[in-house]
Amino acid sequence: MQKLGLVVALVTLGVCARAPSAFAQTTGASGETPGRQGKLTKLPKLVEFVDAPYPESEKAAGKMASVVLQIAITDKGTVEDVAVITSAGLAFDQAAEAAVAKFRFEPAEVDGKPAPVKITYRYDFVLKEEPKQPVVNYDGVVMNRFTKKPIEGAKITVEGVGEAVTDADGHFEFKEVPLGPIKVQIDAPGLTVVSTDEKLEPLQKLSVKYSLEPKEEAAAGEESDLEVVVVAPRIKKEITTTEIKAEEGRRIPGTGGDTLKVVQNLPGVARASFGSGQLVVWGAAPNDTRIYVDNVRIPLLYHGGGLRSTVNSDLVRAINLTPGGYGAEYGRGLGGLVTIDTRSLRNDRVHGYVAADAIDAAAMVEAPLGAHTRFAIAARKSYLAQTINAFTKKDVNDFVPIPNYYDAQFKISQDLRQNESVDAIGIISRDTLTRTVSNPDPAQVKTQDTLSGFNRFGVTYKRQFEDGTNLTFTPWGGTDHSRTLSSFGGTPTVLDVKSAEFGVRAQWRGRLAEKVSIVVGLDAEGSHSSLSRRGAVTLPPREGDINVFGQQPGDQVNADDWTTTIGSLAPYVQIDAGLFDGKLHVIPGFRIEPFVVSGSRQTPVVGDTPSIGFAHEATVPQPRLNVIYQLLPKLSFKGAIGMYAQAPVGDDLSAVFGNPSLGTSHATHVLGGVNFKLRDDISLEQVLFYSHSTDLAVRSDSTTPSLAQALVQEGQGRAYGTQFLLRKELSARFFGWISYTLMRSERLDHPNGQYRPFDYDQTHVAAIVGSYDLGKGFELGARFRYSTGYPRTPVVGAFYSTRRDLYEPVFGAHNSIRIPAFAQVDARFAKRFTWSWGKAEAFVDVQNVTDRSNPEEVVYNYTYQKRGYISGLPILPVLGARFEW
Amino acid sequence: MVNQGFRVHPGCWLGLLLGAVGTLGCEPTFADRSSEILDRRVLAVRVTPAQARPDQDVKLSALVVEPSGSLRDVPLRWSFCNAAKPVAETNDVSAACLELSGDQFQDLGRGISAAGKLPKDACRQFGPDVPQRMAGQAPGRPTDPDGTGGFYQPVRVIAPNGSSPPILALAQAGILCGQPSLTGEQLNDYQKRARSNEHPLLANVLVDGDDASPLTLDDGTTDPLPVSAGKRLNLRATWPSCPSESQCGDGICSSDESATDCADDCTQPKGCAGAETYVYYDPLTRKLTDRREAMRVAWFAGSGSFEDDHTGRREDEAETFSDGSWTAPKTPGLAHLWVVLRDSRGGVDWQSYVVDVK
Repeated sequence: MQKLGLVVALVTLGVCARAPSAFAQTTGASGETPGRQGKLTKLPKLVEFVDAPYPESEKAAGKMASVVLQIAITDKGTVEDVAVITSAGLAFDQAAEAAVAKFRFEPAEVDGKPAPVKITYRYDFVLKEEPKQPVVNYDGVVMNRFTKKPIEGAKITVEGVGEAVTDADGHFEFKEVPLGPIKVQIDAPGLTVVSTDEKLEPLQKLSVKYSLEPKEEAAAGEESDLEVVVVAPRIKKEITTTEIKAEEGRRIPGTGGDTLKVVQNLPGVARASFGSGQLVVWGAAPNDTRIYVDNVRIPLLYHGGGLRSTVNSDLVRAINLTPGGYGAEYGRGLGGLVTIDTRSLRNDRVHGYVAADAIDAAAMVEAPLGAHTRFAIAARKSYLAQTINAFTKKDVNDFVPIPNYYDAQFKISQDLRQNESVDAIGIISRDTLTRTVSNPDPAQVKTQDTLSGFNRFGVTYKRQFEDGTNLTFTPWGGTDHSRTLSSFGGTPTVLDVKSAEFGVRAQWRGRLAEKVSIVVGLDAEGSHSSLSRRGAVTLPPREGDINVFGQQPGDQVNADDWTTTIGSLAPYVQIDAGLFDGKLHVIPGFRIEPFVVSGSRQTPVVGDTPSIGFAHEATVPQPRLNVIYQLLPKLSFKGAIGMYAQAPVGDDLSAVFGNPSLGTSHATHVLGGVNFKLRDDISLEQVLFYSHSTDLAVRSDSTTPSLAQALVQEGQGRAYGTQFLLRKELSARFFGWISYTLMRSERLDHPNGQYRPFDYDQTHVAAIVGSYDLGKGFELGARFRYSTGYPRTPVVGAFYSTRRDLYEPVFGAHNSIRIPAFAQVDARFAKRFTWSWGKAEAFVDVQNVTDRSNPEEVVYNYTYQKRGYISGLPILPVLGARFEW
Repeated sequence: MVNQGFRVHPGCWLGLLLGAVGTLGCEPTFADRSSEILDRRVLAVRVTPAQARPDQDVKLSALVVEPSGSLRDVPLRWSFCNAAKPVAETNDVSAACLELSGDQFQDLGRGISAAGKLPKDACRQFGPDVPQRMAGQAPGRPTDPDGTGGFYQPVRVIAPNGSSPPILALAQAGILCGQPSLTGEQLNDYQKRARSNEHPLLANVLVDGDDASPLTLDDGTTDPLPVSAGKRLNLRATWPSCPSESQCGDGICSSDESATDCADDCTQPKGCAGAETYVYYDPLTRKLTDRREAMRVAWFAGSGSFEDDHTGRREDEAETFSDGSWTAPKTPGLAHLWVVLRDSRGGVDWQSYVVDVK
């Protein structure tokens, strides 16, 4: 953790005016009795000395002086008059006169009787260092990272020195902390105990600002030093990660309050194609981006049509998108990485919410079970089809597919000891879609019956030790099931995939040296799948297929059923070396991953011939390197390079539809960027990136492909561009960001071909997002999006197929035209009501405020001579409400 | 080429009213109708027999029409296209078959009809036989059958179109090749029960139901049916009924009959000109099953308009007819109609009709 303190060099020089000793300074003044002559039988004796204040101006100038005065003392011993005999300057003179005037004496005696006298007195002003007081040389403020409010009662422990507790202003201070490195621990109720290192320099006070995340917002498994932010920008191991807090994501217009949908507005992410909800990150195919919830991999982030995410937003603390260049802890994907951290559960009382809009309803309950156990359970169910059917007698399925889905989650947290806990999560998600589009023409009858679902269960053990090291261990398992049954134009399509998924992630983080931390882990995943498929080789379509939306599929069909087992066991290590006082962080990582791929059929079934299985293994070393240089407190540079590998998917290992001999695909990511922190809550980031993929599975272009080689591993890909993010984090009333990505993503299908635009390539992707708290519970947000249209292959002619009685297109250059650009403004207006026993929110999310007609897909008439576009929705207000307690 | 005149699909407005998001897009509806004959078109090609073995003689004929009627003497250019289709291509035939010339074409002559022999290697090139192995390469991938288990030899037809670019049509001649992946027992069973497809017969197109008179054939032998301008005619295309169970002596050599046990029907095997039952190998269940052909009717008119461009019967519908309706134009004159009947295995029949709109 790089820390940069605002070190104020405050040198306190002890200055004091030594209390002048009257007696010591009283010179041999002779008595002089005014008024009469006699014999001085007793000298006056000073019994009450008054300290003269050292003149500040003179003290600051370091001057010392002596003032000689004549003091007239009455027969009572009081001072009647003072006169300067030898001046030391006005300031000294006045100070001395004022002090001496308050002296009291035992009166002098003349002839044995008290009598007034005059004496000469020298008053010395001497500069002398005071005895040294303890000096504050380390102080700071502890505050909530997100609300920016000070945290009171946080205990700051400096190892070997002592403790301090923050006051109401979040302030703490230490005195006389030994110079050199110190270990600091911050602990408070509701906070995750975190440790960090500081260094005190001679003659400098270290003033820091610690921004901490409350415990319920702390990332699961996140290293402790990532949670401590010291004024300067937080340095992350995944150096291009964009993190969105759940509270922010919920308020983004157009997301319907769904935090996870905000990912689609982050830099590096292409706008999802119409109603797909696909994640296309830095030009990688949607399936190449991995998604983890608390270290548990899930296959889908969104329900069908992209309407909702599969994980309830209210269980989410934050979502992190890393488009590329991530560290050695993760792998198995050529594209980006999405990690979702669930939040810690509250233990004060029962909480919950219910919410509903035109699409679905959701509810959650969260409660403590004793002092150390908490649980939450959430569920959601769509009813869009029922809503629509309530308003129309027509079968809307004739027009559009209406997805039907539900999901449920639970989380149980058990505190074991301090900084030791076990969390269990479970996730269920199901999507179904059933429809029949009737038509008097049997060839035009369309049937569609799809199911997509998964179950997950994972347990995470976390332990953070006193020395700051921590350990996490997450075993998980689950099942996936996707099924597509459809028929169009007499061509049936059946794809049924049932998988058992399992994995284990174990990680230990510790310190090798003062500025060197290390992460060591083991990341294992596997799946066993049973697959059944029937239909055309080109259905379902894959990236690179040339076709037209709505085109009847080819009617050549085949079938296969097979099983696959795919797994890998990846030990990894990552070291974070802080150099030059932590300004430079070099983070090398290494992951070595043996992939094992096996299946039940090496060749298609022929008669009674028994099937021959296959198995192959490939060990892929994946070195990675991240470098971060903090040039200035608010300016840092970063770079990364890494190699990534991905196993083939079971769908592609069919001896009929794919190729059982497919091995791993590979990618290299290179990126560099700069981050500038304009303020604590405003940052600007610019990243240049390049990725190159090899050994991608593509369709064979041979007219006589070899048996069991409908796919070949000849594809290559490259993506390059830059992304920009100006972001104001949630604090006070406003948050928002401006993101822009300029990108080019291309594919080379076969070695003798030419690069062509990737199916999901979007040259420009921009988003402006903002939300403002108007006060009194009112909130207003807006979002603007712009993106280049996806590439499409133009139809340059057509021919008539007399057997099937339809026209078929003749295509031009592959992906040489584009759908027109997309631009849309969305707005969100919400009103929150707060009571002592709960709160509620009502909102209207208006999509496409300007009612712009956005082309989403190219369609043709039946002869392919006329072209039109499917457009997105017109202006569309969506009402919703939510109540929570 | 971009169409500006389409209508917004009603589903779009439903989305607006009901707050459905994401999935409800607005799809344009083009005004073009395939049933409207606005210029010269090739509507159908028939290869006889409907399924033939490699190296067997076949005859080819086409239905070429214009709004003014059928063209009976068009110098069509016929050729087999012997280019296999890469698995990555989504069309029915290889893109190489769309080229103007090349070694992949086997010329079959010119005229409204043609004849030729199916290539000897048709089952290797377009069927279930393993393609010729190239030196040093693994065995090739056989062609996948269509949804009925059929294999087809591409036939290219080019029709001259006056000063406009010629019309390109691709027909497919059914090949009798057997089935891939059969066990020995299944192979025996299949060989015993499989029958060559028979072209369907468009028996009649009746006006206003079963009791009405048939539509007048456009063969010049009968006066056209008079119809009032703007009147709607309900039409019914009919085809023969096929027996659901084998019956020796019905003149049809069904899949359960053979020359041994029913010489009358199977000495010269003859199929049914309706929705035939045929033996189908299901590659997923790996079993032989009986299926019935689906029937599809395409309606065309040189003037006036049909309600539906296509109608038909699914394979689970036993009816031997399909209804359509045509609305006469408001302008008096002769109106030409065409009806094309197709079975799902590549068989086809058609008729031309004429109506006198008054």
